[in-house]
Formats: sequence, structure tokens, C-alpha cells
Amino acid sequence: MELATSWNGRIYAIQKQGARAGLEWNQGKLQWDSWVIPRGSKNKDGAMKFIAWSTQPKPQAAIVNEIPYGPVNQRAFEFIGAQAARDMPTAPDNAKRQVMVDPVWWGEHRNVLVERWNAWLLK
Amino acid sequence: MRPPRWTSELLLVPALVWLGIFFVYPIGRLFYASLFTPAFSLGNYAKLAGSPVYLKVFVNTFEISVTVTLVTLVLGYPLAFLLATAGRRASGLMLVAIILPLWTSVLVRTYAWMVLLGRRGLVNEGLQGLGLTDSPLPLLYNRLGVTIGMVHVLLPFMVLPIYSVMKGIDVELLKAAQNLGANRRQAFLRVYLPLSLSGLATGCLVVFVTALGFFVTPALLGGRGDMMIAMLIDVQVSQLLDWGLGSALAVVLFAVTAAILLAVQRLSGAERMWVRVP
Repeated sequence: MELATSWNGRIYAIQKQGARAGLEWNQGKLQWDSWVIPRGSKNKDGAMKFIAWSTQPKPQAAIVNEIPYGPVNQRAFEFIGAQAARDMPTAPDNAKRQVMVDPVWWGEHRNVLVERWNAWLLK
Repeated sequence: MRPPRWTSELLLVPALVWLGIFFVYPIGRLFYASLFTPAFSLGNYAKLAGSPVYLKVFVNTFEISVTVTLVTLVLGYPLAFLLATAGRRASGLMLVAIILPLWTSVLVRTYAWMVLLGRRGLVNEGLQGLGLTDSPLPLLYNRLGVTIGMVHVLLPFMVLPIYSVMKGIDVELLKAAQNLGANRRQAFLRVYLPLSLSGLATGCLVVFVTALGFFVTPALLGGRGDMMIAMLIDVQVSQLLDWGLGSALAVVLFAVTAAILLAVQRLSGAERMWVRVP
């Protein structure tokens, strides 16, 4: 195998196991997960508090120590070791070389793209 | 004493109710969704006809299903014969060996094949260790891998119907045929094979129709060219939320399968197909 796309965390995991694999951020796709509170939720206030807390710098930095995906709050870098910080997809040097995934655009075009992708696969 | 006629018809009611709720109604909903999502049009079907992707995937699906049916037949027929003619203990053991895999999830068995067939899997390491091959053979992520995985899952469905028919064939008939001057080949081809044909036909149909709807095995063991219809339907429904196109795909698969079944049934004689020849 010469080239593959992957979540960055998986590359770090196989590097730790001794695999000879490098990582290139150029034209990588930067995307994020979101917390969602359904309309009419019974415990909306609690959920809002949880989101407010979990996006603070310290809890964000704590996640990074468990699994190497980037913090959404840039101030979290104050609490992350220098090496780990350089490996994050959201580290400023890495982030500027990637493309932000636009969920709205993908929502509108995904069916066409999936068909084009399948046509290419089956060629 | 024969029960009065209406009682025997009453026995059908539970099965019909079950089929009505869990088969006829959902199939009806599929038909409806394929035509009325979002409003009435033949657009979903036009889309299927207009793109080469869908045709290619249908061709794939039928190619894979035919191959798998033929391979399971070639492997299953002799196995069923052995099973039907072996002693009680031996056939009991073999039957357990054939049925046991059915108790394990298809997903787990498919992952097991990934372990066995991979570049550094047991098969390739073994072959290279014995010096039979110099480099890993491509056994996984291609048509071969899909065929191996699906044959393994479907083999019992070929063996069991053939076995149940063979169990009812008197082996003495073979001796009688030879007594009357047939050599062993003639005795098999003209006496045993025709008597076992109904089991063979049932096995082929069950395997073929089940293979058409396969999802997990081709998705995990196949390569980029081995996409089957079920995978395409899954993408439409669970990723793109396009119930209309997903339903249209399902309806076309359903219609083509039904047409093939009817054709086979007509060609081979309806009675012979389903009823055991005494």
C-alpha cells in the first residue's frame, strides 16, 4: 500500500505499534462532531451546561490526552504538551493546510457525489 | 378420519396473517415508496435506467449469486450423498459439523475469513512457509474472497434439502440398476440423480435467492468492483435518506428474482420442484 486516507488518530495508533507510516496534512479535510439538543428536551438547561463545560479549555485538553483528536477550543492548547499540540489537526500550523468540511454543501451534493464515486469504483 | 374441510383451511390462517403483516404489507409499502416519494412519478425508476452504476451492480449481484450457487452445488451434492449413505454415528457427526456454523453470526464468520485470507493471514503465511508461493496471493477484497465467504455461509442451505431428499432414496435401487446391466455411472445418472433432483433444485433456489440479498459478506470481503444491490440500497436508505431510490432498487430486485423463480419453475415442472418424489 502506498497511500490511504485515514483519521489522524489511527495513524498515531499504528505508528505506536511500529508501522512505518507518515502523515500529510496538506489538503486534509478538517471536520468536527456536534452536540445537539432536540427541540422540547426536558433537561435542556442541564444539557446546555454540559456543552458549556465540555468546550472549556481544560476538559478539551483532557480529551486530547485520551485520544489524539484536536480540541475545538484553541485555548485548550495552553494545557497540552508541546509535542501533542504539534500533532493535533487543529494545531494552527496543521489547520491552515487543511480544508474545512462544509456540512451544508455535503448535505446538498452527497447523493450526486456518491453516485459518481460508485461509478468510479465499478469502472 | 379426515377432518372436515373448513378446519384444514383454518390451519392456514396464522401463516397467512403472519405473511400479510410482515411480508405483503412491507412489500406494498416499498412499491408505494418507490413511486410516491416525494410525489407520484417514475423518476426513481428513470434514474435507475439512466445510470450505468445500477445496471453494473445488478449484473454483479446476479454473477456472484450464480457462481456461489454453482460452487455450493458442486461442494454440497457429494457431501449430502456422503451424509445420506454414511453410518449413523458418522452422519450424526457430519450433520453437527454442517449445522454448527449456522449458530454463529455471519458477521463474526466473515471477520474470521478476513483473518484467514489476508495478506498476512493463515492461508498466505502457510503457503509461503511451505514454499508453495513467493508472495501473498490476492484472496481478499476481490471476487474470490466474496465467493469463499458466501459459499461458506450458504453451504448448509444447499446440503440440507439435498440430504433430506437423498435420505428417502432407497440405495438398493442402485444395486438393482447394476443388476439389470447398468454400470456405476449409468446407475447414478439415470436412477439416483433424477430421484435426487427435487432436493437439488430446492437447494439451488434457496441458495440463489438468499445470495441475491447478501450484504455483510460482499461489503467486508469484496473489492471495489464487487458491489451488490443490498449495499447500494443500504447507502440510499441509511446514508442518503433517499427512500424513493432505495425502494425502487428493492422493487426491481424483487421483480427480477420473482421472474427468475417463475421461469425456473415453469421450465423444470412445478410439481417436481417443491414436492418430494417418493
